[in-house]
Amino acid sequence: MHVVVLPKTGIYAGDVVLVEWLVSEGSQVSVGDPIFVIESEKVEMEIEADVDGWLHREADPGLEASIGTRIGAISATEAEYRRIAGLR
Amino acid sequence: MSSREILESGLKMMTRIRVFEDRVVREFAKGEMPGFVHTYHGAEPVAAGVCAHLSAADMITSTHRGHGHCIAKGCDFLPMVAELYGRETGLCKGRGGSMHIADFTRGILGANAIVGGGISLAVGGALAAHVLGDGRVAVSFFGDGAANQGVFHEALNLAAIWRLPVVFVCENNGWAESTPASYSTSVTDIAVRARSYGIPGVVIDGSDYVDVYEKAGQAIEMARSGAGPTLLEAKITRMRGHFVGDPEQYRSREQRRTARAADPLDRLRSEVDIGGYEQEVTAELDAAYESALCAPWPDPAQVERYVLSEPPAGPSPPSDPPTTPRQGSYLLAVHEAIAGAMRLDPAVVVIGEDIAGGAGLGEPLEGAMGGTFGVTRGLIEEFGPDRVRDTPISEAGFVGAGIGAALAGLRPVIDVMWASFVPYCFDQIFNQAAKMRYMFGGQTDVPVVLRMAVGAGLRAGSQHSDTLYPILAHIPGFKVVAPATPADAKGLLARAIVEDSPVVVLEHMSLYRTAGPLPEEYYELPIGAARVAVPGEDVTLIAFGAGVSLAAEAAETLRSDHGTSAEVIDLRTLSPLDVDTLTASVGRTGRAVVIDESPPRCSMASEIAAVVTETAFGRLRAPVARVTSACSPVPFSPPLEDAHMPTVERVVSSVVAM
Repeated sequence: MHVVVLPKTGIYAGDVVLVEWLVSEGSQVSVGDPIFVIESEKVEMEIEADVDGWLHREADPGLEASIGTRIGAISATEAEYRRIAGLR
Repeated sequence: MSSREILESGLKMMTRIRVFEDRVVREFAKGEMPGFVHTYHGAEPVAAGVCAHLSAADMITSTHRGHGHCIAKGCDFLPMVAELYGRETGLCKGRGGSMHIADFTRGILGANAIVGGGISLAVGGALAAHVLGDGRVAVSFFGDGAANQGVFHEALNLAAIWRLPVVFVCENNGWAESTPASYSTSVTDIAVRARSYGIPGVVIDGSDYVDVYEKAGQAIEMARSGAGPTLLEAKITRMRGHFVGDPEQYRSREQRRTARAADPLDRLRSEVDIGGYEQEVTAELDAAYESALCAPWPDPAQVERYVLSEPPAGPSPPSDPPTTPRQGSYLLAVHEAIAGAMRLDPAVVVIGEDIAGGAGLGEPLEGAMGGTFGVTRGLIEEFGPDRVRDTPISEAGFVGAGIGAALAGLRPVIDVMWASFVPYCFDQIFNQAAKMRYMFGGQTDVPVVLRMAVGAGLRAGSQHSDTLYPILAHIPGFKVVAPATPADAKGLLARAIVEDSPVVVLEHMSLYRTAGPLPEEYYELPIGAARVAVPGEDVTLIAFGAGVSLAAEAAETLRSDHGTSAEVIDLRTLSPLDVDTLTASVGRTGRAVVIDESPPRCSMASEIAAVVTETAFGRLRAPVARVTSACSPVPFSPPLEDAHMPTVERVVSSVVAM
């Protein structure tokens, strides 16, 4: 399981905003797929998946929080995703 | 090694690098890693294939994207990770960070965040290897962006004319930050630029470990055998952005996907099996992170530690030169200091433009010139062309090479000729020599001396007359001396050469032909100790270099015409300032005038005025006065130049006005 965080994207180290999710809960994502948008220093930026797997979203758009805050997880298998998402 | 073993060890090294960099990407996103980082994704075969041919004693210079070079040269994970987090246990004790990692025990002369900054340093490393004859080679890694820097061209030319054991490895990933090479670079293959310098230029498929391994092996073997330098250009794909978190607006999503998928490890993965090596490396890295994140931060009280080297061993020399009946010129003094130091230590070399003069012509004309001012005349006959090395007019190249040689076992005395030429080599002085000891956490000293002629009054015009006193004294990491007399010029330069810190020696042109007592023997004078040139009671005239005789003349006029007793302090050293001597004198006299041939704004005079105001404020009976040059470039026309410079009259009137 790969933790998805509000990422540090350069030298700026202040709070960032989760603007929107670009994929729906439970979708299968691949490395390089844009999965959410953040706003940092008034600039919006698409963040891509670092790993392949099933995405579980754990935070809502509008969240403003410090870099490193967990907002989701990508599971390598669907079974793991279902466990993390609390399905079954 | 069998070819299978070569492939296996290559894939293992590339895997080490990849595992490290993947983890950097993940950990950086979490926000605890300070600053910003650049990863080596896509270039792994280059570092692995080149460094496979290097021993720990061989030298490399690296770039802002240098983790791969460090790992391939044998760095352990733990001190690297600790450095990325700025911890005291890091390779550079947290003073350097990702872009300035160095490990001198493994010949890593530092990663460089200045594009092209390492190229001339590597030439210097190779120069040291050549002069010392120890069989080492130097490899400079740099990107395609660096191939458009002037210092790249200067360095290649230097290495070519001197046939040095250096290999230039251009990692061409097609991007200088966000600017494509197709736009920024006049040629498709940077390797063809080698032709301009008469050395081999070889294009390598940087995604193919075998191609890198073979061609780098040939180039390194050539360098080691004395056949001279090679430019290798490894074509690679920058799999990720310029820095971690780079949104890469300059590449389309499709281009980004293609880049991410262009994994150079895939080829070897299909050919050899390294079993569970990736898991092993991951476990090793897990342990490194666990330990590094618990490691102590540097102590904030130590913020100025490692700026300068320890003073030379033994007691500090007496602050006065030996007494002597002998008279000699300032020029002779400088010459004798260099010759004396060269006789004492075979690591001392002299490099600069025209310092022999006519190099390559052979006897008897070779060396007849001995530098623009004749200071180094006769040295090539005594010490030979390896230790007295004429250079092309390539300030960035040869100053960088001198600094690199200082990292690799020599003690170069670099003749920059005129201080006005410093801007051409300011990166080498400011970003390299001055910062290295600090950035690298005290791992290395930089025992280099930069001599240069300063000052106006010779009708030499704006670009041969600067002093640069405050500009050079401003820089942490240097010592700066400005001797006023022949005896001081000899003793301070001799000391500068044995200092392990870089030292700038500023010689005022108007002093070269002056004479004074000049002891025959070799001796050193302490750096950082001012002297009372003329004792007095009523006012302190603070001067250095050519300003000292001007101050002494003003003191005489003040005594004879105004009945004022002026004390003249000859600073001798501009950095570090002898604050105690200044404070004691100004504390006694209550008045101070600072004489400085620099323009007034942010001058040495400003600094010294601030210092004595802080340390002797309670004793001051008048504001500290500054007598500087005009706030203009140095003019050519004699009446203008005379008006530009400090004069005895201005010093006298500033005292009378107090």
